[in-house]
Amino acid sequence: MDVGLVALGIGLRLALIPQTDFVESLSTRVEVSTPITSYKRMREGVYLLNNNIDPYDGGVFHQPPLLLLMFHSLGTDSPLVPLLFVAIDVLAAVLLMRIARRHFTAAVTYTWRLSAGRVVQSQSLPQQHQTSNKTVQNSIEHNETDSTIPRDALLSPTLIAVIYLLNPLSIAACLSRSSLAFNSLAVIAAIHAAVTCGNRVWSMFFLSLATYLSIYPVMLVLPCAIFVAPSNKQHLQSIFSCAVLFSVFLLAWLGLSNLLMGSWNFIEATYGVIILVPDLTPNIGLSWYIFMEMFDQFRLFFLLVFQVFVLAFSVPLTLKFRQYPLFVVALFLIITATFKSYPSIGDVALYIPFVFMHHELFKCILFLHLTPLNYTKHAIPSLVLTDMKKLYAIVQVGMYASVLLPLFYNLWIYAGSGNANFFYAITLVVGAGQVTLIGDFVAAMVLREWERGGGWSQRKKRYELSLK
Amino acid sequence: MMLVCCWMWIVGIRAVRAAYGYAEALTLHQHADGRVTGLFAFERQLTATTTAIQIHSLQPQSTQIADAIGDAAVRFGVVHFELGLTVGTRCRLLGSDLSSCLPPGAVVWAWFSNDNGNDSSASAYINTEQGNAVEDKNDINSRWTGFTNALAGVLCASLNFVSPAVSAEPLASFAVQGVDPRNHSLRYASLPRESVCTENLTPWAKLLPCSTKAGIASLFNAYSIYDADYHSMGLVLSKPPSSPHVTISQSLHLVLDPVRKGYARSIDWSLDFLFGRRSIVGLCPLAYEGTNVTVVLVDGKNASFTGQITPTRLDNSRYFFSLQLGKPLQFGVKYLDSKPNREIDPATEPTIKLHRHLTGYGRERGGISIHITNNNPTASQNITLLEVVPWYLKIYLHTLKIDTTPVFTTGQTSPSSSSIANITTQRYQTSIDRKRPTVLEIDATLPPHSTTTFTYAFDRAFIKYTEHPPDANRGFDIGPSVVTVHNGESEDNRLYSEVLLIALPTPDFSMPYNVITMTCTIVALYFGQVFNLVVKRLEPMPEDKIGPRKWWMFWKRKDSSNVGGNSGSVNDEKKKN
Repeated sequence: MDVGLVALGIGLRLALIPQTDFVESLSTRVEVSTPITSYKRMREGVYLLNNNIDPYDGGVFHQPPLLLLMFHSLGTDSPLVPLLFVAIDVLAAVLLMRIARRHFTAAVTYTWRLSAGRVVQSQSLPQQHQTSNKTVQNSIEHNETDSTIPRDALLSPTLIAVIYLLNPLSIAACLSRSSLAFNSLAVIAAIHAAVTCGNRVWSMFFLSLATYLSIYPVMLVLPCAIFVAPSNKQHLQSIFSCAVLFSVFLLAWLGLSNLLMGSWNFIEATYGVIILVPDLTPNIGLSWYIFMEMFDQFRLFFLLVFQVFVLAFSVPLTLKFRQYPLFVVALFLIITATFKSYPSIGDVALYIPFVFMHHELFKCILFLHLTPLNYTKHAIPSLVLTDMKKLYAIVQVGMYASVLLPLFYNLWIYAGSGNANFFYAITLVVGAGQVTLIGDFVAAMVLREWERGGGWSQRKKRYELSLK
Repeated sequence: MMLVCCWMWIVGIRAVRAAYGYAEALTLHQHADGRVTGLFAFERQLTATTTAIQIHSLQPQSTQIADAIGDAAVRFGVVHFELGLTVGTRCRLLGSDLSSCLPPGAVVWAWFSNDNGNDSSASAYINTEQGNAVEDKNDINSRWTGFTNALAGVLCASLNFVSPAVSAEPLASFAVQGVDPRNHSLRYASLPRESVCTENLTPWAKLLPCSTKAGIASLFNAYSIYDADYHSMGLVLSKPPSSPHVTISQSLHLVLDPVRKGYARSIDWSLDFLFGRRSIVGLCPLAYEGTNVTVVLVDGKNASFTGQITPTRLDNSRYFFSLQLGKPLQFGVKYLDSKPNREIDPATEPTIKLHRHLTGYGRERGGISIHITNNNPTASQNITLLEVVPWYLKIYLHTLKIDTTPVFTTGQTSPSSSSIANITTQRYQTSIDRKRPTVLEIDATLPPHSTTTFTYAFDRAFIKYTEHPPDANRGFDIGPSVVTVHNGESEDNRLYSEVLLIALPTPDFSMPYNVITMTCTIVALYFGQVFNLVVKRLEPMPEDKIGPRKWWMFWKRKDSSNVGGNSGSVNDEKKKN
């Protein structure tokens, strides 16, 4: 069944590739391709390079040199290019499946600590799974014998791959040949290296590649470093050594680019554009309209605020959830997709499988309230919904936005019967939806952690968030 | 002291007069459709060492010129510049005259001498080091900005909007005889949105030695001139590097339509009628060689002149009047058959025709299509096409397509030529947002009797709300493409295409505050939630803090001990396992 769905996902991609008109119109949609990932601009960059014009000395091409040179040697109109993007998606799905399998195996051993203190087993981490095998084995046995202890239901790891491959967003991103695919693959590969083999070098290698491609994955250094830490106590050393490795690799990527291009021009044309947002082409994010409408004298300030906001919570959230690095990864991917300067649906497609890897939190995710006040004033469990209702809400926000985004864009740009506010309103909805997802994801984890750590027996009571 | 000053002043004026070479001429050419093309040409020659103004000047330099334009040119090291301020597009050339029709708005280009100024050495252009090249470029850019600002001041035009963001440095398009491109730098800019009017004509006419008080310029009546189908003021300065003389030519190119102007719908006209009750107030005393007013009448029609002075006949349709000091000139033309022939004469089809238009729809993308036709049936033609596209149109060079199709003349069934345009060189400068335009320059050879089409695609940029002009939904004017027709030994001539109007996607101009507040609300929502959850811990709520159920909390059960979830959730999980 699952294998059939995987084949369907690949088959859909392959079947749609020959529909060139559809693919072309898809690849020019602002929701799918951004100025920093668009394949049209990649074509232009390769064309300029072929004609001995520096593509980075201009305002059109903003993608990193290694990608440019790859497509330069591959040829942008080569029939292999769409297949390459399909292959990237398949590889990403396989890696996601392996991450999920490892994560779920570890999750089996998550112990529900009852308040009576019958089982005193700390949260099981992947690396602990190996080191303290015996204890884990005990706890599993213990869990199986004690029917009063709740345990998490698990998804099949293949289902995670199916979720990625059958997601219309990732199909659209794949067909559009947006260079975001390379970024996603590098991120997934880095997490895969960290989760499945705890390999620091490969993890940092791929993470530096992802950062080289789009800056924002730099946030993931922290959770990946915690993943590869040999034990719970050595987080700091691990972070330090990972940071060193990461910087070395990143400098190597940049140095290699400089060597191949012969100048540092690309820094301003790629990273300068990501940070300073000079190209205000609409996308599903929040930056484009605010910087279009921004008063000139405050532009720099708000740029700073927006860019700092993406990174602001990386340290606190890692500290808070250091026992669940994969959760931190998922959280950072949502935050990036919401607040990065040029987000596209490919970023959304990247975090969805990671959210599903924590599907046990769905029970706790609340989608029907927007204000954080709810957490402080009233009890969370009283509003807990069942699984299906939450999925329903997710699909609702996604479908609402995915219907109205192209519609309102068309009203604004082609029909002229709507203005920019129409499209902006829907990007706000997307933003609000994702922000709510972040908040509830975190709230659910807080609640879950509390329940696991002994709060379960007090479940029937109300509880509150306190500063104690 | 006063006396001395007065005496020196008089001497000064004499010196000016001695150094002044001044000539003016007017040609009025009537076409079969009744339209009258008028070309007012004024030319003065100044000497760079004129002493007149020097007496009062603080600068003891000898490079002072008693003329605002000439002075600016000398100060900024300009050796040649041309400026056109134009209204309207219905340009009609004077017979075989090669003077080009200028596009609407302002067009200005200037050649700068590379070795100008005190700091840059005379051998600046020999230096091949990059640093120096950049410095030279910045120096030329600042001189170009300074010069256009000076012109803006003199002519009351918005030439101060000429910045490096709209300026190009073409290599083959504006070659001038006598200016060596190796040690001179060129800057070109067009301001298609410039609206030319009386406030430009008045200062422009004031540059003339007799102003509008005498000579042919006394016909300038702003009401009639700005009622013309086409009106173009030209200003050309050239200062050959070796010569101390500066030549300043001014020209006013007018297309007037007596048929439209009068109720009689006749092609008869008079100076009085065309120029709104003006006549020429005699000769300008500074035009030492006299002034001729040449009149070219419609071929093959019987015509007679009215007025007191009879013209001298040159040939069948050409006559001229000579102006005399203090003697006003007023004349008119009457035809036996004064019905206009409004059909376009196919014989007037130009050898090289240029046409440009937009393709596509919507405000997101678009394309530009340029058609250049070589009507010469036998000879191919070398041309240079120059496209200067502002940064807010993002050009995709990979979409550039060049295609040649033969021209079918009537009665011809097979194409007269099958060759395609030969592109010799192609230069491309990518644009930088808010800093420089895209510049595309193509040298091509057009085969005889063919139309060559250049097409390319662009994306319209989404720009900040402050960057839109007033009346933003009207759109942006995109300056003309320039085709330089290379005529071998003789001077090149230039064709300008239509100005395009391109609407960019607009934001809502009324709501910057709303956007900032709403977007920041989302950001604050994120911050508030996550901050709250990160710094706080979950604790059981003390019983005394749990109040009674509020009357409006209908969804809650009365028993507060049961609100914390249902036991079913635990069972559910077990079932899944």
